[in-house]
Amino acid sequence: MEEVRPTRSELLERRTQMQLARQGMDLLKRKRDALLVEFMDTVDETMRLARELESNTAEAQYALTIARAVDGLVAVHSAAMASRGAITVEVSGIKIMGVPVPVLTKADSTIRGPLARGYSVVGISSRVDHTAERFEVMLEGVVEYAGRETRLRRVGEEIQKTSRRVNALEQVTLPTLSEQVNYIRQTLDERAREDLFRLKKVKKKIERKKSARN
Amino acid sequence: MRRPRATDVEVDRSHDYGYCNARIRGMWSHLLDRGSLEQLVDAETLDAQIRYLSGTPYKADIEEALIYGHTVASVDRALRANVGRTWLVVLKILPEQGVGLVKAVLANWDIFDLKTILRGAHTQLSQAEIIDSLMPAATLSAAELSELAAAGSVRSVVDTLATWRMPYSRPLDAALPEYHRNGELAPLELALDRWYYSSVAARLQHRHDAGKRLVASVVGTMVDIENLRTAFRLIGAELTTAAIAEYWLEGGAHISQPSFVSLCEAADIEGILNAMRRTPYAKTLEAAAVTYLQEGSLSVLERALENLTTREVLAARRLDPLGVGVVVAFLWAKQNEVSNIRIAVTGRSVGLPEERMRRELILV
Repeated sequence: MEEVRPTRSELLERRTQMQLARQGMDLLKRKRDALLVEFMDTVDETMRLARELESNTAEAQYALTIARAVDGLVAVHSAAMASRGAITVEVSGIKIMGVPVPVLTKADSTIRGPLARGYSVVGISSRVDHTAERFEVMLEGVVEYAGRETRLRRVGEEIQKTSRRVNALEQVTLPTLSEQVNYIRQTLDERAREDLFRLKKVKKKIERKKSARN
Repeated sequence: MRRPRATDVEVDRSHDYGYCNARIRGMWSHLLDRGSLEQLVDAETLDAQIRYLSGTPYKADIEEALIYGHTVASVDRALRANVGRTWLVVLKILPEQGVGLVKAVLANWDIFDLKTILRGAHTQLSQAEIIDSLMPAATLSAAELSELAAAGSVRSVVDTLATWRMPYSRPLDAALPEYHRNGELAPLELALDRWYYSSVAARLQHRHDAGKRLVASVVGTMVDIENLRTAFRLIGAELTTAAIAEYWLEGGAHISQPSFVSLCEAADIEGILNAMRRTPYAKTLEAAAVTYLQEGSLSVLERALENLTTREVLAARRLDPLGVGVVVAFLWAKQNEVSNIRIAVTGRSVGLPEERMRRELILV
């Protein structure tokens, strides 16, 4: 145990610390509960997006396979060269129970029409065009999923961190402080009893001297 | 000293298709038949398919490409090399009067390669990346394509073509201002396509030999199908009539510019199918319409039209057995064979169901 000075001021300080720790623990527990509610809501949404993304990816891969098989690798590569592009994603942030969470917002939809893919529609098979469209749909889902997953991860990490703090307060800090308060109180009580005993002894001695003089 | 061979004898082949067609028939006999393709589809692994192809005329190309690994990309590389070489052989053995016609058909690949180079230059890709997606098969040689791929910018590609006095530079040069204004490649590509089909139509108008009608019919069907494919995708694009007309390709057998515009202005695919009722494509489109309605995929209709073109072109062998028909039909048959092999190999490598692979094959 940490060395504790068994004084009245120390006792008061430890008691204040205990009260503060209890309040902190209650606050952290409430924060953890609120984060858990947020986490559960985000989990449902993230799972739905993950399933959607998985199915979109499978569809895109299937379309790509058909295009590569029927039109050939060169036709797909060639079309892919023309349809390269950048996606503008704006990153802002919000706070959930004090946890900073990034919010990803696309400036434009990633899904382009057949006339906006960079290549001319003439001479491109619908298989290649369909593949491009499926990958654009997938990309749309990737951006949405990325935002949700980051939110879920941040909230999850914060729940873990808060739980660790609650546990530390509950299992370590509060029992230690309580032990220290008990120790100081016992020591102070002991001292008070000793003082009382000493005073009684002194009183007896004084009375004895007085009776001897008389 | 090497003994002279029969092929070393100088033969005047300027007008006679006899020698050429005999060679083509010989090459035709080496094409994979239906049974071989079935075996390829049935092979359980990619390695088994590669082993199978090593026992066919693709052996040399497969062995050469396998140094890049036992992958689908290697097989694709081998198939491209084989096709390129085969077409060079065909161009060599053709009589002079047929060279122009066949080159006009093969120039479709020049257009594909030029588009790829323009796309690569537009997106600042390296020369190696661009070359990897080319198909040197027609009038532009591998060296010329490599030079163009190194040009570095769209302007330089067009300038290089102009320096070489290539006719492809004319439509590109005319479309360059629009490219510089919008920074979009589509107008350049469209200009190339439009120029290609109109120049083929013009070239066929000035020829009066026996092969002209046949090649004109083949090109006419190709253009019609290209116009139909475009119309399928322009539905609901909200373009003006003038803008739609820009997408129309000249030289089609049955789809004129006004009918193309009305096809694109149809409310849906069913509208296009109804409008096509009086054309030779009606039967094919109607047969594919059921599957299209079930799956909602345009590729069903497109594959059916590709199937029809292949069958029509292959029929040219019978319509013109002593002329250029045999050559044109062989080019198609070879291309179709390569496409079928690719479907089987790519399909197997990604575990595509056999039923789906068989549906994509065009077996003639």
